Amino acid sequence: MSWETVIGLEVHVQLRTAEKLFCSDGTVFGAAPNSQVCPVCLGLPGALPVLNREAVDLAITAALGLDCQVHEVSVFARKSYFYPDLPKGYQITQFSEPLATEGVLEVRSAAETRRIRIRRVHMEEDAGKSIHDRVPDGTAVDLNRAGVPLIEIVTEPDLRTPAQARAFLQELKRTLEYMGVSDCNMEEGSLRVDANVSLRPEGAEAYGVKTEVKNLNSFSAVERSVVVEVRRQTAILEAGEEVVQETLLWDERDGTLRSMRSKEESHDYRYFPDPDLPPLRLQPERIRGLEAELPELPARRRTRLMEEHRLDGRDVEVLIASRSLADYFEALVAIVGEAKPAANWIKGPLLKEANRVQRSVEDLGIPPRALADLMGLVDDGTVSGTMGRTVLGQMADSGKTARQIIETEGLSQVQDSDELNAWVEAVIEENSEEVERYRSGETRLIGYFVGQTMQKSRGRADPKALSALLRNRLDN
Amino acid sequence: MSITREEILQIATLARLRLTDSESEDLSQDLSQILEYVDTLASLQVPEGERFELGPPEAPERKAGQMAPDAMAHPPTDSAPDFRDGFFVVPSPPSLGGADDSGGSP
Amino acid sequence: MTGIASIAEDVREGRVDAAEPARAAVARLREQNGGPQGLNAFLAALSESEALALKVSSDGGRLSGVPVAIKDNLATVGFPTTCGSRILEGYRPPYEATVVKRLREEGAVIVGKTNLDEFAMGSSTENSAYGPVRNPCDPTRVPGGSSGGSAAAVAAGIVSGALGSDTGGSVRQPASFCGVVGVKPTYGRVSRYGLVAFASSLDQVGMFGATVADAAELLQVVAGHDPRDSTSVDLPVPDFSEERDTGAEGLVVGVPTEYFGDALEPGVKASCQAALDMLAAGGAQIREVSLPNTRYALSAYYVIATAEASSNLARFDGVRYGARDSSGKDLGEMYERTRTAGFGREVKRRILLGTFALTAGYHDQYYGRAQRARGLVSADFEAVFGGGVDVLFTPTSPTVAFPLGERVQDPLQMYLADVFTVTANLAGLPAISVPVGVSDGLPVGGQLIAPKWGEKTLFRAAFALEGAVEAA
Repeated sequence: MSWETVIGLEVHVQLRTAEKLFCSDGTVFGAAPNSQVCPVCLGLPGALPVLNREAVDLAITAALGLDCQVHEVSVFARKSYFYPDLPKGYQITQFSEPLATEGVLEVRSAAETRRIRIRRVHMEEDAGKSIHDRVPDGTAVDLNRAGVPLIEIVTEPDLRTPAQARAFLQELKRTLEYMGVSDCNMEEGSLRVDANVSLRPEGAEAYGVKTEVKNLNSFSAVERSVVVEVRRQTAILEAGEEVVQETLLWDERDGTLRSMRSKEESHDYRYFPDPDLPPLRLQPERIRGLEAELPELPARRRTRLMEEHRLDGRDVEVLIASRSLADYFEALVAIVGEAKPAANWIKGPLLKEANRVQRSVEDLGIPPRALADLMGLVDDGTVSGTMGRTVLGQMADSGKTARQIIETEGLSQVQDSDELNAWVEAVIEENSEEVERYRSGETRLIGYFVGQTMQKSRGRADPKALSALLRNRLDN
Repeated sequence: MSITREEILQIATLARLRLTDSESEDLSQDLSQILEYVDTLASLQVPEGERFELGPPEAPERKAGQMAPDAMAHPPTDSAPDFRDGFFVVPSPPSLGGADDSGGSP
Repeated sequence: MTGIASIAEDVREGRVDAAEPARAAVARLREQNGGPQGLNAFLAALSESEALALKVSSDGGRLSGVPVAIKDNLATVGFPTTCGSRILEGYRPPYEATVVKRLREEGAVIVGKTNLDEFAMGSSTENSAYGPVRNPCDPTRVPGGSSGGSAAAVAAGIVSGALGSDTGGSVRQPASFCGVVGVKPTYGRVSRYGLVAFASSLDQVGMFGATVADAAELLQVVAGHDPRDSTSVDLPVPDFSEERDTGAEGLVVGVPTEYFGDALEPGVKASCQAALDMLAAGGAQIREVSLPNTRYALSAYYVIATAEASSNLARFDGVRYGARDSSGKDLGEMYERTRTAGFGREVKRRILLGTFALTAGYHDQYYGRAQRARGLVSADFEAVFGGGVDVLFTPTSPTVAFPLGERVQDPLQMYLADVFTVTANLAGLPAISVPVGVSDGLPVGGQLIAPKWGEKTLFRAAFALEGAVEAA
């Protein structure tokens, strides 16, 4: 029997707002525990929610960016359950009348472009954090995160492979990041994913029983856990048994899934409209206004960069990885005038530096103008290409300009024949055996001599000039 | 409409209340009596989808910086039954799989 | 004791020491509140030494020096806020309710917190974890509820005014039982920020005064939009007492037949009829009207109120504040033990009923239908007011104050006491109870209901009624 995998994703995304969804506390990640709290998000008796306008705007923006229908009226509802990081004993969310429905996100891979339908986007408040291993005799609760604005993005079950799920998440993250809606940082918890997985016989229309996979900390965990779950369900179905609807927790350390089944199986969340909040009513002009302000999304940017700058697909894919990188590239091109060298410098040396110091390109302290200067200094021979990359590294570490570094460290490329000759002579003298070998026909030793001379010059010699000088000297 | 003792116990679990045998007996009777009275609602014919609204017609939205967090007279954590090193401390959930650090929603 | 406005004026003019009215109130409180026969109206109050040390400013506040009491489900700084429950025993909120802030800003002195049915659930104040309150008119009887302590405090002359809360009649009914004035504003007129929620779409802060004028003074000070309450409405606050001298001439008073049926005690009926006659004599036009969906009102009320309450009380879990029972082995047991020990019988009953009404299987049948019934009840009022009626007049309660202990065992009987008052909460309308007579030595209250935002008309009618009753 051939089984088709069916995957749907529920993604919770923290919105990049200054304040929480229903109160004015800050939303800074990593603040001292329980320092960003007030009567409202603590659920003190008598406290009441007041909606955050910025959160609404960002939620609408996200929904528009995902091509959703944004509804003019949506309703906040209470979802009831007991947990220590849920101060009111209910979460304020949206249930039967969400902010937006029926969107789509296109996901490109090498093989194909898939359209993944978005079932809904709704607003809700985040819960706090329960930390189980901090105190020996209990659970520690930090409510800084309680009340932070979230959007929940639910897809239709349109994904068919774990790899597709991963690709979808990457594209979703990028799209949201382009819109400035969220930091989308899974490590910091500003993006969280649950996966719904089911199998059905190839060609069947009805969906199989789905399970929910939680506790996923990375896109790779999503992919790997789905693989494990598909394997598990396949084994069950092949044995002629039925898959039980349940929730499973992924254990990252040993790559296994653990069932969460506890004595209270079903959760009756008893949703009802929150009587403390009137309906959210959006004027059409407001939605249109936000739509007009939508930044250029990755798909459009990709096309435009390929057309305007005549770059190939692979180059562009790297450059549009983030909005700030794409902005950086375009700013650099505007200064240097040529797209291909700009692309090469960014794709190669600049991204290498960014990875080395674990920062994003815009946080390196090397604005486009500074990189453009360095590019010019390499072009005009002031430093060699190799030295130029070293200089870039020092620019990242010190924040100084290329010129400053070259001068201070004395790194400028030496092309003066007297200096070069001096090094050449020294190398020839110290390597008489190799000279003999060269002169007896091993002409590829030229590389060795160039290398030795470069070392002697501490990288400053102009390798092209050197090569010519050495050949001249050795041949005569 | 009458409610059985079993149903009362299920509802009590949802509400995190523990009832003694006689309490659950009494309460199922109380509630059955009340529900019988309340069943006058059963004869109601009202068109679907009519929402009854009170208060402002739309949710007010506050701009960033427009409303400061309510100044508190003393740290709210002063009232906590168990507060250590900046955290509210509670007994651990029975099965730790209950909710994870990423949001608690079971 | 003289009225609120004149006390404030005496203080502002320096005729009286600013702290004197409050000190006198504390002295009266100490005399009447405690002991086995005491009123037990106050759960917390200024001590004698605190009263002596009081520094009260006299600089122009509308309520300068006026001693007031606050129902113990309103958050105050400086006194605990227990909501009449064990689960909040000793709890001190770190913030204060908006209405309390506004009273203080106008110079009022908060003398203490008053007793109530636990979490405002009840009609007799016998559901308090801290003992019942006695009716100052007859100590063997209930003061009504849930704001029984506030009503008694004003009726006994301890304070000049008091705040309560009214979800299904919890200000008007005790006002009626104790022979004082109690008013519930239009839903959204007064901020609920800091009022511990019972039923969010029904709750309003209400006020007690010995006279209509006093109640109006308090409402005048606390009313108005509060950005911290998303259900408070941004409308200008008129002078509620503007029509105090207009009188009943030309006032069209509707009398709904559904409120004058068999449930009514004869003494109550007689007093209310007399009141209507007085209004007519003053020039009012009395008109019989019908509110046919009244028969659904109590059912709708109990479903909606308990559903919202079951949700509002979920936050009492022993985690962040209040009592905690940690004798169990894990979190689940902590929740159950804490809530089971912390909540009284009536609260549990309502939480269970409300939870049931919201469960997946029964949501539409109960909660859904109740909300729709609410729309019908409201439409009845709109039709009547739209047909030229200025205010409605009904008895506040079918009976006078009943004896302590008489109804506690029969919840349904207790609920039926609210039958005349719940409709104004369901429809969000302003309503007031004014003493209109006496039956068997016990006060009878008459209720006036006005259209939404019609507090000026409501007070016009109330002043006229009060005047007529006094003159009689």
